[in-house]
Amino acid sequence: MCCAVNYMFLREFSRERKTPLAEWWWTVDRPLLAALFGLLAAGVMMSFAASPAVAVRIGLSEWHFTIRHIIFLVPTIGVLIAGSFLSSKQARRLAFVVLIVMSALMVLTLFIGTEIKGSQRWISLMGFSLQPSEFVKPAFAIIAAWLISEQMRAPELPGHLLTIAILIGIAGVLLLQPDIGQTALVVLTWAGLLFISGISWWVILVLGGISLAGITAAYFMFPHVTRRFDAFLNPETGDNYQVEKALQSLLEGGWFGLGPGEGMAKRALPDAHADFVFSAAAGEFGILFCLGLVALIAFVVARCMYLAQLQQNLFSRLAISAIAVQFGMQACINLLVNLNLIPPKGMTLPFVSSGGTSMIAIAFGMGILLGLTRRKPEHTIQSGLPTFRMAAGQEVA
Amino acid sequence: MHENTPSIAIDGARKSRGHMTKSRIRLTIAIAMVVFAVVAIRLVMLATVQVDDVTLGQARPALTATRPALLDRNGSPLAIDIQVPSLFAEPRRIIDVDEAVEALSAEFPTMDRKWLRERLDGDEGFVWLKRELTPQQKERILRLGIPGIDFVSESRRFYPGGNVAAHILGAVNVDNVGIAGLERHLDQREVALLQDLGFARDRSLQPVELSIDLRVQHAMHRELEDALTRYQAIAAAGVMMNVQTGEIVALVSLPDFDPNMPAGALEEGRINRITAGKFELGSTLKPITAAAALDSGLVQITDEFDATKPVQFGRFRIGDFHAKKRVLSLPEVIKYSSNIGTIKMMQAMGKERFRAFLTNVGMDGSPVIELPEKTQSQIKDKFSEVGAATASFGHGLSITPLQLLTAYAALVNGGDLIAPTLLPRDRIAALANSKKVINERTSDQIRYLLRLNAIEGSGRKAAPDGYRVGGKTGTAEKVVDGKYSDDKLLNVFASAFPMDAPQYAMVILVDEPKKEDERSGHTAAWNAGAVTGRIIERVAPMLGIVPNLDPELDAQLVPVELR
Repeated sequence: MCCAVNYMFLREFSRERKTPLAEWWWTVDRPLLAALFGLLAAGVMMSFAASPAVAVRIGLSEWHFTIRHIIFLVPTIGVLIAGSFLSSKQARRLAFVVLIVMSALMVLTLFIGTEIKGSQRWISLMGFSLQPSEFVKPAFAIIAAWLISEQMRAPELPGHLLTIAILIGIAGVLLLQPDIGQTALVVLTWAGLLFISGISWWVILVLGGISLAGITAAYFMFPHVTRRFDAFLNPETGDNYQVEKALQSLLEGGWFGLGPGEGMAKRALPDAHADFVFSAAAGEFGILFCLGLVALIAFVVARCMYLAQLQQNLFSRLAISAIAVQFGMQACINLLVNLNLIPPKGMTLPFVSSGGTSMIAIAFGMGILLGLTRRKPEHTIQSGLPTFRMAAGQEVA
Repeated sequence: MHENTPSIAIDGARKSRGHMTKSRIRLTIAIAMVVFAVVAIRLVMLATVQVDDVTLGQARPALTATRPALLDRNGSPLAIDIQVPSLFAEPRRIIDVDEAVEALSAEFPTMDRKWLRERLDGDEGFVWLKRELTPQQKERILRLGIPGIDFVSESRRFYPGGNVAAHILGAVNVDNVGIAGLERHLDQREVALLQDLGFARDRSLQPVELSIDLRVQHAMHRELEDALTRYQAIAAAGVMMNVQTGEIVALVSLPDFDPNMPAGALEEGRINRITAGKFELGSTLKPITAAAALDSGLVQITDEFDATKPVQFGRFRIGDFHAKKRVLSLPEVIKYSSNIGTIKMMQAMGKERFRAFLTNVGMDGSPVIELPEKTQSQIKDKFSEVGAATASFGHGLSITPLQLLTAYAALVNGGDLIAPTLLPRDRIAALANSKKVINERTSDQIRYLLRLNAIEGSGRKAAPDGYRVGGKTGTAEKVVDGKYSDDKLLNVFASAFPMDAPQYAMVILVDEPKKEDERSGHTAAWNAGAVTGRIIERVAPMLGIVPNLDPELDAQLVPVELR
């Protein structure tokens, strides 16, 4: 990969000339960048399989969702690259602003939002519909990481308390929409952050108990959660049409798939382009392709976490972990739902599912993550060794 | 490196927390990988699930059951499997019911739309829409591209000849299981076994070749059909056998049925008269009596029998139809079909010997043949004086025409009784399982007698010039209300040809014929005999028998004693 790219961008990316682009290219984590672009490409490819049926069914032109998907690639890649140019301080500030603005918009959805499928999550903004909660998620991850790292650095600061306060605020609004999936994801991001920050196992046990209680409460408080759960536990009783069709699509393809355009079950899959894109594509591209996609997602998560533990800066380490945990959780929940291993909940497959807000918001988080994982000059100056090597040395010691 | 010492402690604490975060991150990676591994395992499990693409349930193996093709002895198909597409729907996979109904009713204008909609609407896995379509219809429906609509290939038995060999082939039912004739026999023999073992699915089995010659079969079928109308008979049947091998070359019994629509087979009177019908075959038995008498050595070809007056048994009195009222030589007894002479011949050897000979030539029990439709002959185990007398000219005992044919074959082929078969057999295999029932000399004498009857006696109409046919008529009065009726007759002609070196024997049966016109009669010679002649004229060239008008051939048949 490097040779061709190097040649093309020889001047701009040359190490000798310290252009910002060259500096970015040589410090950004290229394997991660490649994997993310791979995910985006897979998303486009799967959109060709999954979208036409849905579009035709709801009376749009056949390639409506595919074209939208490709158009949204432009801002998505833009946000991703732009985010990766940010320094850690800029990232923190941007995240703070986004958190404030999007939280406000999220509160607004409760009053002026568009109701889709029983939830008020969307807000119309300059002709686009926007789901503010998608942006709140990564912004919260970064701010929470900052607050917690600050308290770890200076225990007298009320980092944890502030984090919990923000969390309760966000979760409260999300539950009012209601959006159980996003609530769970935000809470899980925070839990992951706590875990990584090194809280004791006792606290983990207590919080685990509370979350179990929370899930039970959700089961009894929200009728649609009850329904989905019951249908999952006892497939005969409930309406698990979507999951059944998804499973059918997975089964019909076999190892190598039926081939592009040949899938049958996807046609009956209501959310083939969004939450169930994985199943829909499985029928056409086969289980081997799906395994490849899972491997790519797993690589992204593992690579992010690996880069996180190399970071000297505590904030960077926690922020990268938080974003990676969020990304991984979202992907896992989507995959497990697609494979009928957990009850269904509205969760897109990051970078792959159709949905402009979701794609750009993920790009926002991932862009900042790319920026934070860039090799920083200060890491190499202290010891004269590249950070990675130094970290490896510490491991041995 | 750091400026002041107090920060060292804090720095140390931070380092340990930092260390902690690193191990926790590694733990998180491990947990994430476990979850992804679960996803991957689940995917692999899904990929290895065998999806039954169409849930046809129990019906499917029967639908696709394949049967071996049946061929005649020259390889022409008598019964074949054809694959016909049948249209079904999977309602749960149909996206747009309206669209599907619209498109399908365009293809099948006669299909009730309401019925179709109800059929397609729902969540069932499988419903039949229309079975046994043409490939063109399948192509057109496929082009419509309606999801949830598909075809299965069903094996359907097809008999290209229609009725022509109906009673030989039999028929199969909807599930392609043989229900009659050879189809049933083959099922009992092997196909059923294969299907039980699951081997007979979607597999073309080795074709089964039969001994039937389709050309001869067809000619016989045509001529018997002609006989039905010509003589306004209620039934007509015929069977031809290779006397050297026992192979049945043709077998027809009218009325018959079309095996492609086997329901017709159940109609009254459509039994296979050759194997499942037993009749009093009348004078055709006389050559058998003669053979028994000659072979016993107690009667010579030169013997003479007094036929001046009827034979009296108590209150029974048996006379001749064409009474000559004089002493007849043995050949004359056959030529004039003298009942009196035949009784005398039988009495000369004794009724026990006669009864034993009937057993010997296979008249007891049911005929040996692959067909399941068989009946048992009816012959008393022990003859009374009068019973033996009537039996000697073919009355008071019922046998199947196939048994008569088998006996005739043995009489003319040098004395070897060979079991008939519908499957190919060569001379060596035939002889291996044959039984010597008369000696060569007796066989030569019988050939002379039969040929004589065809030249000078009742068989003239059955003997087209040049094919050296020999045969014997049989006109049996049918029993109506316990009495022999003189206008309801069962007419038989048993023949063999060419007599100088017999290759084929044939029995033709015409049931209740009427006179063809004012000048003709209604005895066997006029119908069964005439049909025999017409058939031989048609088929002998096909069978490779060269016409030969040389009178020397007939002269050589005459036994030395009579020259």
